Amino acid sequence: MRAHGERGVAIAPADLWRALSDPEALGEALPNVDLVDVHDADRFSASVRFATGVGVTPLRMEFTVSDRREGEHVRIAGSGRGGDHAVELELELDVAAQGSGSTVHWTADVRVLGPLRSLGQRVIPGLAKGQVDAVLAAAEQRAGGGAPTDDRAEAVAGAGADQDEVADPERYLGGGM
Amino acid sequence: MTDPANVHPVTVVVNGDEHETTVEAHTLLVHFIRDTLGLRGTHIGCDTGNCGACTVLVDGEPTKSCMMLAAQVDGASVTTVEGLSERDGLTGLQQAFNDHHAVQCGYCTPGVLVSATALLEREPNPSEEEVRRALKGNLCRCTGYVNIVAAVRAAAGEVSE
Amino acid sequence: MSSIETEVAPTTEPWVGRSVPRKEDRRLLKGQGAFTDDIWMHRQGYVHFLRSPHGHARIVSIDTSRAERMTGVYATLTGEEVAEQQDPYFQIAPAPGGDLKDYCLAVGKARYMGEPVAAVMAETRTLARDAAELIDVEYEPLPAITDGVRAADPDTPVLHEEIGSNVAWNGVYDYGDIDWALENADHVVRIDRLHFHRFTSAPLECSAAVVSWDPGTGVVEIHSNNQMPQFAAQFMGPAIGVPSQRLHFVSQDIGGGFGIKITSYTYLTALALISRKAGRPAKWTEYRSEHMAASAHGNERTFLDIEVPVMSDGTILGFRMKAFDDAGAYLRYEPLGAVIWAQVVAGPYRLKHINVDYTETLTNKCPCGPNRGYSRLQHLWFIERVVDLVARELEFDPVELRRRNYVQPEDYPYVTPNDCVYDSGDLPQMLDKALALIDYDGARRRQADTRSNGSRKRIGIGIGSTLDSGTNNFGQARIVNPGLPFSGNGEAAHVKLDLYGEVSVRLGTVPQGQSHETTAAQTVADILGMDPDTVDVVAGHDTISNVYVGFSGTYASQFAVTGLGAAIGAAEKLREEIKVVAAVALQADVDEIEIGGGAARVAGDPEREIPFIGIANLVYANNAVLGDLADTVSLNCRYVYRPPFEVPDVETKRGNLTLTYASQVHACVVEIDEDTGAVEILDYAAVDECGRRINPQVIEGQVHGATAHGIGAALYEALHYSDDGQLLNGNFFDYHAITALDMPHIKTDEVEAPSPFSPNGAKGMGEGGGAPLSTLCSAIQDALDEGGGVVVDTHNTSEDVWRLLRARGDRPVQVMAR
Repeated sequence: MRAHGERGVAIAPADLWRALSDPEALGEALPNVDLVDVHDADRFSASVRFATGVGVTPLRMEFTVSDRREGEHVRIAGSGRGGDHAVELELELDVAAQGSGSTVHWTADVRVLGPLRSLGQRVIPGLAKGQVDAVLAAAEQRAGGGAPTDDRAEAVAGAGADQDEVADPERYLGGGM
Repeated sequence: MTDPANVHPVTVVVNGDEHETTVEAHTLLVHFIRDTLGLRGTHIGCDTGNCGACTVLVDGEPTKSCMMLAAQVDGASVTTVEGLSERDGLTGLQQAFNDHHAVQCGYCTPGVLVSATALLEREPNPSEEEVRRALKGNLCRCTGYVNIVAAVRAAAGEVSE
Repeated sequence: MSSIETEVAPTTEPWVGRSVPRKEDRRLLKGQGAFTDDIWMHRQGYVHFLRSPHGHARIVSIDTSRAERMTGVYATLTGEEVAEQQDPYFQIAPAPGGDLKDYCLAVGKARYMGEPVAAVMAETRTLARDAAELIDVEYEPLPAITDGVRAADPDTPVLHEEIGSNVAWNGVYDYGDIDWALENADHVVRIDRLHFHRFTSAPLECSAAVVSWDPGTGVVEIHSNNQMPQFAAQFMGPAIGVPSQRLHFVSQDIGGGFGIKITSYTYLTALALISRKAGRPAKWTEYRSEHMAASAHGNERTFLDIEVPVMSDGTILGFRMKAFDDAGAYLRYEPLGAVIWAQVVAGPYRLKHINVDYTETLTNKCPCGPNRGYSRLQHLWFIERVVDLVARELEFDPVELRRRNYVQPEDYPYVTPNDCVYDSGDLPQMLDKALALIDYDGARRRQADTRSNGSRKRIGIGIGSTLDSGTNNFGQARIVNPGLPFSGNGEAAHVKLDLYGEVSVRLGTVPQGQSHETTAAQTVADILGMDPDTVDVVAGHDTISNVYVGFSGTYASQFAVTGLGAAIGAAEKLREEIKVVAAVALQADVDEIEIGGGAARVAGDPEREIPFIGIANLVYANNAVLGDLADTVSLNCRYVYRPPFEVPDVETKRGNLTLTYASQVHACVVEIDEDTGAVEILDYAAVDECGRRINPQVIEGQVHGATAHGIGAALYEALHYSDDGQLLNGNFFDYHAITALDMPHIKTDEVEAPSPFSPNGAKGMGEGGGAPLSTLCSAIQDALDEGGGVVVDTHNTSEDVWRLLRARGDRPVQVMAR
């Protein structure tokens, strides 16, 4: 399913982009992460603990950073497995100047495999948003930025090729996700 | 082996007997009842709290014991199906289930009896709609609910006489 | 409406026929049932299966080392080990379908989401789950095929390379002369497609077992809730090289089966292997999400290119169609389903010309099992839907059209186009009763009122007729595979006097709520002149008792005939032995001895009497007094009931495939909300006929339960897969199992038409026939406009109904011009 969002960040586009394109920085920024291992300039792995209604599912994920356009755009792909579950995701981030800070517009394409798929389809958009928000907030912190600005994120689940039935995800985006 | 931080003391009265023990944090109430206390009448039928096979009374309230941690019943009183009747007898409700053929495989029966017991305590003369509503959290795959509803209403009729 | 009350009556009346209260109830009401998760063995390890997240994937590697290093982990098991320790399971299908390799864990490839790929045994249940997460599996995902019709195309991803395609079996069934019928009929109704959806009876208790492979004796002790242990043994034994007598199956109480607990022998095999490896009993209880993804599903069947020749007077001559049955990723009980539907080839109707091109396909979904109504449900729904649509398209009255085409009471025993014999019945009377229960004329008036007063609610009235074919002739397996050495059917029972004269019955059946202890006690009580309370029926099944045959188990609507037939035979044998001993003890002729009240006596001379305890004493503890008679009498009487079958004709695909045919006719009134499509059942009636009624209350309970499963499937329950083979609603949060609030009250009535073929006149009836599926389709259709939406699917949610209300344009049903 697909999710997208837009968020203001209190640091300059160049600084933000750097934070998002650097595997080491990303590894530090990702929330709920253990055992980060940076392989090279483009790749890192991490054991990510996705918190869902049925408990915490740790997934060992391999991430690749690519499609870098300096100060503007970066793509982060991840795939991983844990137990009976597997997750594949693609995150595209576009950075632009806004006042003294930046705006980030992001889209995520997330595929969940395994029993989590049925329970997951309701919470994935919210989970994705939460993860992205946390990464941006951490990047902000790291670069010494102030409090996060206006958050106009929407998470929209698209049907895409997998024809899942998902109702209006806004209803499932609660606080504390 | 177990991290002391993950172990909790629990004092709980189950079917009139007091138990003072410790439980691991992650232990579900239903596993405490079945595996630790050896009360096998409470059953597990799903992983999402939907089927009601694990229904017990916690301080008189019908509760899905798979949706509670054992640690949460510290200081509480729990009644399972084994605690509904005397050692050798059947309650009026249980006898009504026998009279009306409301039991087939018997797997949902303990949870249904507990829910129905709680219903009859708060509503001694329930309508068919009220009985169905009270039992909507108890799945049965054998009876189609028809005889279960009839048995609960018959038991109510006898109690209110 | 029948009112069933339990009765207390004098012992001179037979117990069979009365609603005797159940012997099983006491322990179940008090929570003292022994279900499989309640079974513990000393030193047991808990087993958890690691399962594939992919619908289709090559298994590149499995590394269990991290799991094995965890403290408290006893053993692991992978497909690679299984391939060395197990021969692939025997297959029912002939080549090429039968060439597929099926093991207890995925070997080389995972072919459905949830397929077990590895197993871990550990000290606790939670430890086993945690350890499973530490097993590293590398998958290479492959494209998946989930469409059961498209899977027959050669260009789809192939699940089993040994077969080379996803077609497991294909055959054409041809009876009468469909070409002549289509040429000469006054009308031909063409229906593009009808679809029977995938769902499951989902028993409340999931599969479970404790399996212990004893290193000393080589005996594999299996405490499980498998409902057909001898079928399991015939698959497991050769696979793991254990002879039959060392597969010791034990079960007592089972929380529902409905056919879903027949193919669990794959899990029992894995547990046996890991038990042997670890040197400990292997304890396993399925989680609900595992059950939904990886136990068994009901068959999904698609019917295409349907042609129905009809005469102007309403006589339906037959039909031609193509059927595609989706077996899931492995065959297991399939392709038996490819012939079993032919037991009811013409349904409850006198259709003569039938042509079916039947294909069994494999897809990346959970393998199917013989879910309640196995294979006949799909075909019976098809026929009833066709009849309903013919009525609508050709503007026949739906009641009169059924009446005209039903097998008539005077036709029985009725020989069907493929030489099956419908034993008895009275469908017209059943239809009358069903319509009376819903006040059909009143409902039509209500419907007319709502049509004329501009209400946003529509009334729909539906009828569904069906059969429940019971006690099958396993010889029909040869129609699917002529090489199979199967035929006939049977069940075993053992009735004895024990040391103190106590009557004890043991059955080869494996009940999961069907009240066998009670009905067997009634049956034996009548033969021995006793009270059912004093007839002890051993709870559960235990192969060590040696009371079983190859067909033993509880499935396929046959207990009332095979199980009770065996109990009758064994009890009659015992009665003869008691009489013979009594004759010697009382110095009378055997013919003068009568039995009743727990004693044998000389007729007309009550002083000369010997109680059962005296009979038992002579045989068990006092045989010098008994003399030579002790050599021929044991008071231990084992009997195998064998129904009178012959091997069917494989060439013409004809034969007597089932012994008895119960039937059900349902009728209902629904109210449909035009704005939401929501369907509310206002009135529901079920009329059943199952021959001589052994225990009316038990029978009615089975009718209720089958009706609930049918209504559930029709309105609430469907298993959904994504195109890439992900099960989307594999838990009770997402799969809407029907609740007490969803279920309407069911009115019932019955007709009794004893079977001339069964030993007691009864017919098996537990599966039910799935009438609610047809009844609700018919009711929804009835509420739709003429020329509007056509109900072509068994499952209709409120969204589906909403769309049907608004359907315009091309219709999937046409009447060919003449």
